[in-house]
Amino acid sequence: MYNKQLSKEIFDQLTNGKVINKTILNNAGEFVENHLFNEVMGNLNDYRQQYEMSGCDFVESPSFIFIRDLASNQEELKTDVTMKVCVLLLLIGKYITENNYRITKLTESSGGLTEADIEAIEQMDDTKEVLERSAIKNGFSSAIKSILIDRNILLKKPSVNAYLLSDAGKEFFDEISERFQN
Amino acid sequence: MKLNRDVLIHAIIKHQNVFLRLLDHIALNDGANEVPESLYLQLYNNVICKDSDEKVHSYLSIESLSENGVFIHNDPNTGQITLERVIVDLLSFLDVKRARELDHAEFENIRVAIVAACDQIKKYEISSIDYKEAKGTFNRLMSDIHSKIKENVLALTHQVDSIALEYKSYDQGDNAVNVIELYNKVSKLYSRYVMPCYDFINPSMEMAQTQSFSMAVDGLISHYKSELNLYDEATLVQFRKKAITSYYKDIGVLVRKLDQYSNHLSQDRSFYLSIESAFSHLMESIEPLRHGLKRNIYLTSKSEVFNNHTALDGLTRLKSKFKPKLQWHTNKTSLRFKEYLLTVNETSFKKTDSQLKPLAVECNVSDERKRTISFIIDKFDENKYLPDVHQFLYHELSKSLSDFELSDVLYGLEVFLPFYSGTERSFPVKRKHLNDEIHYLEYVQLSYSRSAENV
Repeated sequence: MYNKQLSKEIFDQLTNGKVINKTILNNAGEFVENHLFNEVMGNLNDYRQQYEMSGCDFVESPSFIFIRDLASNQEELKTDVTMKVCVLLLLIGKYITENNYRITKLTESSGGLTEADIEAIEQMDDTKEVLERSAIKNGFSSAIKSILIDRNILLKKPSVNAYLLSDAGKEFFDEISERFQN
Repeated sequence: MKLNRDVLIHAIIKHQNVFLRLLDHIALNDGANEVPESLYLQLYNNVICKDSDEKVHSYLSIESLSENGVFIHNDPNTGQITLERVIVDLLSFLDVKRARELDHAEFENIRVAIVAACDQIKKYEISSIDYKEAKGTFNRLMSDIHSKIKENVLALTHQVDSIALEYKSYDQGDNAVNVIELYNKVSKLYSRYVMPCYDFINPSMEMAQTQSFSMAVDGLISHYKSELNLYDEATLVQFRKKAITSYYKDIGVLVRKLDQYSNHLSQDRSFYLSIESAFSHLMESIEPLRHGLKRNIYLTSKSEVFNNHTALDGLTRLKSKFKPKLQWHTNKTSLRFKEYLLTVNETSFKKTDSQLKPLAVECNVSDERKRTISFIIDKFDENKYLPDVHQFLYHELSKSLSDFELSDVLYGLEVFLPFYSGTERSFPVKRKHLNDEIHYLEYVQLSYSRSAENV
């Protein structure tokens, strides 16, 4: 049986365009299971029905969930938010490769993208133009707050100003590895 | 001036840094034991001439080294000095870092030589001089192989250790180490040097059309045992072989280590290349927007570059849209299909009347059937009220007769009416309707209730 308290919280997160990830960071900065994700998975049929009845597409991936409008083709799913998410994550990826970091900097709880890294990304040669062409105003630092952190694509490590990729963020890079494999 | 070689070797070892620089030059170039004369002169002037012992200046001059065979050739046309191989080997022996690894071609040469030597021994009579010469060649080859394998394992271990240090720095986030360079280094060491050595001393290595080192020596051992009954000789060769193949385990450790680094690095390398490729794709899609005009200067969410990124497609804030969520798109979606199925399941379909035929006025009912119908009707509880006699007959007869037809209702009515005179007619707005899925019957509704005259 679904939990009414949690279902309200889930509704609030999903309708606000946030992703619910399988894992979240605890106070010690370690990845732990997300109780909201577990709630959905435990009552999957109920939640599916709830959002289907509201005319939403309930997107279930093995490691994260979110909702979106129904669309008849892939092009209709391309929103401004998805474009900005792509651009920002690609800039982060470029910074990682350009500076010979391992991807684990973004995925392991011992790592994390620090404020200094974010400043360094802003200073990269292409960042300014990429942000301009994608109509991302107010700079990289502000954009990652509203587009990546607020949507649970980047997770903030408690007590330090460093950010790690959530399950949804990792999926983005996994897809790149798969599609652009040489 | 002719000098004793020990004097020269002392002087060389004293200034080994100079000679190791020569070795580095050889390693970086084509591997021939040649160095430019200018390089040696430069080192001689900058380092050797600063030695307080003036004798060393004369011992290590080009003329002295050439005269005493350390430099075996000084070509005035090319300006290259050729070093004696023994000196090169000695310097490599002094500094294991500079020891050169054996590559595939060198192992192949050794293998061919040992296979030939084994064949030669087997060919000659044991008392012949040819046999003794062949055996001598074999023994020298085995010693040479032992020495080379040992040096090679030391050199490879040193190189793997140095790669391990680089890998550790990389793993700890040292961004001075480039993943692609490190991967290439690991791959080269693994495939060009470690694997050939590993394969060479692998006791179970099998080769098509020819013999491996182990197989050739094993063949000789069994030749001694089974054909010549020389068990001591066989044991001696066996020990020599064992001394060489015992490095198999050491090389195996290096193979596993490099394999592990290679696997981890290949994942990182693949990630690195994928990101670089995805980012280049993004930059390529920006390029056409740099036209200097005021319109069409932005990427849009529909730009082709974003087709490769689908993981978060459709992500947006749904609360901001105050519009009905259920929209039927022109194209058919899975939700629309589900809705269609739901509607179909909830709708009961009836055959339209136009497909049914009217019941014939005259119906032929057999006597036996007439009796059966009469019996069924006879069981009717006459105190019961029937709002629709036709419906009642239809229900009772269809229940009792397996081959029920609509004409049975008509005969049933014929039987019912004379017996039960308390029937009344009602005139509903529409005529009532019965069918047996083949014929239909429209009728005026008759109801029945027990009247006083029936009592």
